[in-house]
Amino acid sequence: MAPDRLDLNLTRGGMTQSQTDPAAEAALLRAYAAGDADAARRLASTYTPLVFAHAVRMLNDRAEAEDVAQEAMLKLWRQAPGWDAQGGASVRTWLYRVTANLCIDRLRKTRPDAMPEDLDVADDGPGAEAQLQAQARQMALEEALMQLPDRQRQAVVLRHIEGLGNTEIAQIMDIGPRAVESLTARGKRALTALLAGQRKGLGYTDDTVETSV
Amino acid sequence: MTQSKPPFDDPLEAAFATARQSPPQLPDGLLARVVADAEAQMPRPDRPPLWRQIFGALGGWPAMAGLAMTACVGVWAGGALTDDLMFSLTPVDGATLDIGAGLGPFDLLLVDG
Repeated sequence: MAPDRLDLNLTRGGMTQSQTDPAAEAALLRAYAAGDADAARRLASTYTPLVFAHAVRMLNDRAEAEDVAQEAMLKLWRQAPGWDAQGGASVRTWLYRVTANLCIDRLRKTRPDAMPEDLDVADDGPGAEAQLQAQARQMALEEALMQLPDRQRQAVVLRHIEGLGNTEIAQIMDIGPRAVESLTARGKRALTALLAGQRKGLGYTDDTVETSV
Repeated sequence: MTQSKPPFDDPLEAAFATARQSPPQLPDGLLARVVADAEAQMPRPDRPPLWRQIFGALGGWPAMAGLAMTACVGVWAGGALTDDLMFSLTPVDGATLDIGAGLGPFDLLLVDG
């Protein structure tokens, strides 16, 4: 019998996410492939937010991300009848890979010649509200992320925002864990440099400690 | 009085934390479209061919046996009954079934109660 839901144990704000249970995922996919509409709804509600969020972070474009999320999930539905449960493949890992590939394909087709260079965040005065600060911080991060090479961005997003471990990221990106570490380290250095000029706008005053990556 | 500091000294870590804490919200209708795709792509159990569906709807092999028997009786009756021949059946309660003479094999069936 298919499980009632998949417990991805996502830890928002934490640095790591637990591995998923491939057996439970496979059971749910089998139930879907056998015609269980409820299994379809559970799979959709579990994975669509994850796929959409990753697409937004890769593309910085909600409309494009929406298309990508639907397309990635469509690939999952088509894959379900032949899902290799014995191979221990994780649906989450598979979806992250498919989503990133779809995003990179779109970026290669549509990327403008010049990326936005102006990362200035509005700073209308001292003591900006915390919410505005958070928004500004997020916008700055999104724009800075878009200036990274695709693979660096993918690695940084998976590691530091999605909170995945290096092992799973290596599986998603089909590279070794050391290459993941290298990509994330270079990505963080680049982001630090991009954000360095915006400390005031992002709400950091001189009393904060400058740290290096 | 101490001055409050951001939770992360490193602006990059703070930006990561903000991003983790506020994942993008799903657009209206996306989940419904994904579920609709799932239902459209859902494998269907193999359906039997049309003739087998009709066959089943008519009652399957028992019904076909009865139908064949009826057809055989009809063919036999068509050849065997003549104008001179008349069956008179007398079932219970004095009811009489006459298979009529003179009108050929498709005569009136008269039941007297």
